[in-house]
Amino acid sequence: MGVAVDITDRKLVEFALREKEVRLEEAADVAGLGFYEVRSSGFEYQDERIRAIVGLSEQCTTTAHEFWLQRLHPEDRERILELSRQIFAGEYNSVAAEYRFLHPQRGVVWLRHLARVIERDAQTKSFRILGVMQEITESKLVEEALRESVERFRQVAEIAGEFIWEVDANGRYTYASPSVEKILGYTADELVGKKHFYDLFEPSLREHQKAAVFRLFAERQTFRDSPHATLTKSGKLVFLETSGSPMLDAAGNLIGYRGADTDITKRKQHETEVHRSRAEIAHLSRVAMLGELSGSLAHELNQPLTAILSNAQAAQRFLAEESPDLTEVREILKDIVAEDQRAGEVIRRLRLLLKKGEYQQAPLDVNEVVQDVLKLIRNELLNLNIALHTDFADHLPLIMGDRVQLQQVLLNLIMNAGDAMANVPFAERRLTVQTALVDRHVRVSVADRGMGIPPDVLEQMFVPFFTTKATGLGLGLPVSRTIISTHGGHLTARNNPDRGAIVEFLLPVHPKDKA
Amino acid sequence: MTPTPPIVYVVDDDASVLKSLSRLLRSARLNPVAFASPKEFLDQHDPRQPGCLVLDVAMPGFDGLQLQQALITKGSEIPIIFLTGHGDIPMSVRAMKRGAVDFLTKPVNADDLLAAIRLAIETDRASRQARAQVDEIRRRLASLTMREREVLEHVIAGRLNKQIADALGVVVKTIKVHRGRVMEKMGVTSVAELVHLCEVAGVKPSTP
Repeated sequence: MGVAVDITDRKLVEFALREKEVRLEEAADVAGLGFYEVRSSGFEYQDERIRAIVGLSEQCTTTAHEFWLQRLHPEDRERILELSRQIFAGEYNSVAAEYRFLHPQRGVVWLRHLARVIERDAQTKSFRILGVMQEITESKLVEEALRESVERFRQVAEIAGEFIWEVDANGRYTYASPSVEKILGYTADELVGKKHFYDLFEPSLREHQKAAVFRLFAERQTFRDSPHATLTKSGKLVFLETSGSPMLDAAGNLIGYRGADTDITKRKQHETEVHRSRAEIAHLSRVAMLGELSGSLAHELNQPLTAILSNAQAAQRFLAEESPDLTEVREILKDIVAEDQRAGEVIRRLRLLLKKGEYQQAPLDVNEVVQDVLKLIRNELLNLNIALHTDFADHLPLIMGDRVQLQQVLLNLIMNAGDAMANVPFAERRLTVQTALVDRHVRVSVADRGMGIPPDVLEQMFVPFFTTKATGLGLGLPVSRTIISTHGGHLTARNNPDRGAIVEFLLPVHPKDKA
Repeated sequence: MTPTPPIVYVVDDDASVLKSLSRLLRSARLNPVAFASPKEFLDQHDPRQPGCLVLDVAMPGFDGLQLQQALITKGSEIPIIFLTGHGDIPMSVRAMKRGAVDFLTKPVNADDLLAAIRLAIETDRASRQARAQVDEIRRRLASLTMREREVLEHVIAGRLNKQIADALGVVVKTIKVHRGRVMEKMGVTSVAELVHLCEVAGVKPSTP
């Protein structure tokens, strides 16, 4: 029984062992692992998988070790031979390495190689070393590509004046790419774990900008090119454009944000300069235009001044009488006040036009803007013997725009129309200003009864410094067109089929105005 | 013929200015009548009415200078005081050449304007008086017969009755009768008076 039992037991053990061996074999197959053993005695064993990994054919009589030695990649050879020497010499008990190998059929492949000393006798210096080898070309290539792409990304980011960052849900830096130092003056180490992104915001804007960012955080929103003002380590103001996307854990909780900041300070300065010089030119041409109009404008002021003086002197005379008519004097004083306001209004309109203002958008009634301009230019038209006709559309929806700049455009168009009729008999000089609603745009057109615009002029009239006038600057129309474009509109000129020219512009209706 | 008080016409397209000027004139006890456009004034203007015109130069459609021309064409000799916003010299020269009384710049001082108006009214009165006198003389001249007119032209040439009789081929006695009628019809008692009237009326002495 016992024997039988023993036999049974041994069989069972043998069976279990074989079972284990089979499983190991299967696992090694699946993982592509090859085994070998090397002994100090010169014994060498390698399984079939090793031969396949290094590409050693069955016919070849060379030992796997020799074959392997021959085909190490030249650039990795020294390193691997040194490791090999070290383990044989007993300096290490195990080594691991990844290296390139010249596969006879497949060219350069990557191998991962582990070797461990299983037995070593210090006296006899005998040893047994077990090795495992695996081909990892594919994952190596992926890894390589990944590293290259990360590197490329980093380089591009640095060239573009960007840095890459990660922050936790509280906004504390958990990563910053080295290029941050060039932009913000802080090294990555000075930021990571120590600063929140908002600590760097420009102090007067900090709370506002911080609140805006955390609103995005709360909604887990991805944001692109969101601008903000930041101070560098040395306190210099820089403008950054930030893009970022949320990082969520498996449960969908916000871990933090990851993104990139671009330094747009230079671009911003350039934009500001362009904007400023554009405003400068608009202002210059406005001043030049008002200079031409000075006579008429003086008249606009003169009228109320005349009324005020005559009223005041009449009042003095009435009061000098024995029983002055106080009702009359009261009326006079009321009129003086009204006339003074009228003069003030002229000055206000003038000052507005002469002001070196920033572009200021506000909802505007185009009819009102046109009427304001006509009040200023009425006398000029009178002097030029031009009859003014107006045709205003009722209930025009509002547009968004800068009142002064639009007035400037209108003044320019009306004065041009006036000039165009200089050689036309008085009775035929007619100027028509019309407003209309066309496809959710407000159209303003100025039509004259002049000689029309010659084709060559029509082509060039929007080119800066092109002028047909003896004293013209050649800026009126180009500046006008720029102004209208800034308003999202379009300015065009054409000849009337029967006579004269029409210059008109379209301005988009204010989106909130549903009229 | 009862003399009507002079009227100061004011024409300005700016309602406030028009109102204030009219007030000023009333305060000076003048008699203003306001018009908002030259056309309105021209349509209702009666050249027989004494007075003067205060006229804004710059007005739409029909300006002050055009009105001046139209008045001249219509035979009105009403004195005009021009008001201008900005001292436009060529324009004022043209206006003055056509007989404007004055050319004042806005805003106009009351004393200057009132002085100009008084002068204009005086000018108008004097010229009306002169015109009335000439009209009267012409009316008297028209009452003369052909022969009496011939005699008158000889008398004012300083000729004696005898010389006139010889020139006309009649007897001296006939000339004496004609001469008496002429003096009577012309309402004069001396040859000197007659010569003066004829000078005013532009009657030329007959040449021998």
